Amino acid sequence: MNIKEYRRKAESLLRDAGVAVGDSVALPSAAQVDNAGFGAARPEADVWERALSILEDKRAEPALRTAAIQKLQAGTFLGPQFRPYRARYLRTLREVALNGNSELRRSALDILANAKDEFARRLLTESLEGSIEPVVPTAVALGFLARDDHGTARSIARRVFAQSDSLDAREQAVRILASDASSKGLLEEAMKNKSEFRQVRRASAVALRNLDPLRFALTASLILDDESEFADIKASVAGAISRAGPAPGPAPIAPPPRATLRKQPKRRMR
Amino acid sequence: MNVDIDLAKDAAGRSFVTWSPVKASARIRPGSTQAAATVTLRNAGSASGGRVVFDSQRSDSGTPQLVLQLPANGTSVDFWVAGEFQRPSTDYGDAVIEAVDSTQTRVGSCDLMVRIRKDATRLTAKERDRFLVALGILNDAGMGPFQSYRDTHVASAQDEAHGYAAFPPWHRAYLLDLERELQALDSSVALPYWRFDQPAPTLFADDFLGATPTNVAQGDLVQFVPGHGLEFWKTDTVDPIERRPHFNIAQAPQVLTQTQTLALGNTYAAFRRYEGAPHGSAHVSFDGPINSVPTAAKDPLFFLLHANVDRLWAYWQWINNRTDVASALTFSTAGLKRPPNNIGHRLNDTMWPWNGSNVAPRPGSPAPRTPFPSSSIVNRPGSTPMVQDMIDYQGVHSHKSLGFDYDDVPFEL
Repeated sequence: MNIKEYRRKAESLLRDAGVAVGDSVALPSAAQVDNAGFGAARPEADVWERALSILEDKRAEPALRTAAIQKLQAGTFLGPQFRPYRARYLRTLREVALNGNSELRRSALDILANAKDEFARRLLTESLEGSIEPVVPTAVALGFLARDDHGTARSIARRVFAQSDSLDAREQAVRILASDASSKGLLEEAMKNKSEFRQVRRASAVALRNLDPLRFALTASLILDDESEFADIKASVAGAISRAGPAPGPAPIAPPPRATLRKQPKRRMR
Repeated sequence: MNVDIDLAKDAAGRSFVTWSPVKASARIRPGSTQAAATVTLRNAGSASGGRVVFDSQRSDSGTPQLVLQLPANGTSVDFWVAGEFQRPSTDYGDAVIEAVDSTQTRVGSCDLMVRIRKDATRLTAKERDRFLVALGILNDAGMGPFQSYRDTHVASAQDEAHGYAAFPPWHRAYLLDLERELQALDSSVALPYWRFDQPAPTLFADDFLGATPTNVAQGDLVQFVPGHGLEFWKTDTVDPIERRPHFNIAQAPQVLTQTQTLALGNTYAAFRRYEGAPHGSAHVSFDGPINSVPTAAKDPLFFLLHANVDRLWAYWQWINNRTDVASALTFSTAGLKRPPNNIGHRLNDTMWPWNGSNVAPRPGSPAPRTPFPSSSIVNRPGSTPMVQDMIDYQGVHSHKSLGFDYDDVPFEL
């Protein structure tokens, strides 16, 4: 391809869109720099002020408040510029986690969970323990709680796994138990159990691989040798074995063809 | 007569080029003939594979053929070779340099790859799977070297990489660090990018970066096909990949388009606003760890998102001729300064973590990634890169590239 022609076309498209291109530009003045968003008169500051006001307003449309969260969360990526607004933002998110509609609560708790926020951890724990109305569905709450590597999450996960019949909740519980050394046996059994949800079996394999690679390898070999085993379970454990260890080795096994993988996991007799 | 074509090779004897020309040489193998010879270098790879262009000098206008006069005594003759723009490889060896004599008889050849970072939605299935498998091996179910990348992009390091002038260079280094480790596992891998201003439904599918459950009560764990390279992905201790889009994945999220991003301005001080939008907007187009600085790198999507952020900078650099580090239009510390003296964000500053520093204001914990990994095909940026080392990534001025290129950003002098 002719590079000069490629440039001519690219510049033409940009100029048609009103975009200035090229060398002919003077160094920006201090005022221009400020207007570009890095000085005292930052336009972002106005946007964040407005967004905080909307988020704080319980009567505002939920869609508007969700958009405000996104605007403010994008601001956190600017680090020092957003820092003066951070405390007020987190305080408002905690209020939204309690009082917002389901979508707002979920978004607020997602962000607070990423920040390992103690208020969010307590709220999620109380929700899962049943001492307050559920703030988000069980599987979602477990996922959020798991981001804070805390013993509470593991004890709740064990209870959920023992009591819940829900595929989603069981899958999330198993993922959390990947950090629980006392759950190796439970995970091994779930991995081998043909009556378990197949997604849960695969999640158990992931968890056991993380917790005890040797025990995983032994269980995986039993599964791979079992002619009556499901193809998707075999594919999962074979894939994990092929990717074990960082050293370059023989050509890694690529994921099996899609045609063999499209069978949706179904629950069998438990 | 036999002709040897000499191009930089890695430990496995493989050669790679990008759009940036590299010096190579050809010579008559000693003892294979008594006379000087005229040979023609040309492409001989597969029709759909990578193609290269040649020149007798470093240029941006190479041609598909080059005639060389080779002395009989075996003295090497230098030439320059680069990938032909927008003709990248898909597999190693699908590009071949062939030397033919005056009768069009092949007298020498060299397999290689035109290794280019591509739009993730345009990868072949093989390219996609090689990338995913290499990433999965690097992660090794949470026990592999990937954890050190996750530990680099954390709250305590936020000011090394965000909010100040070196946001673009720091992240360019971070991506290149990861790409080199992936290439140590599979040299045919290049980091793909998520062009977030365009629909990318194939990227957010169970055979690529994972599909989010459609049932909102199900949680945000992304789903993979069994045997997928990232199925056993782990970071920290318990976290799988969680991600829920705020947009219809058949469409693009609400972010600035590429044209709008370029319209931020043609000075660095103005263009750097892209850290807020579209960069920040792309991160928060999902719920999940990807939407917060301290957790974003837990999700492999981070690296494809940032490859696009880097591509936008690269495209801006190309279209505006902004590769001369001596120019304030190319790089400027105008605006907010990191206390106490903007350390880490000035041209001659080394960057954490690769400099290994734990002296304040650098993060106090041991640096998780040091030294910067070397490359077998280029010798930049060295073990402790400086901010300025990341700017002229194609070597337009320095004549030494960093060894990567994007599919839609050409090399131009």
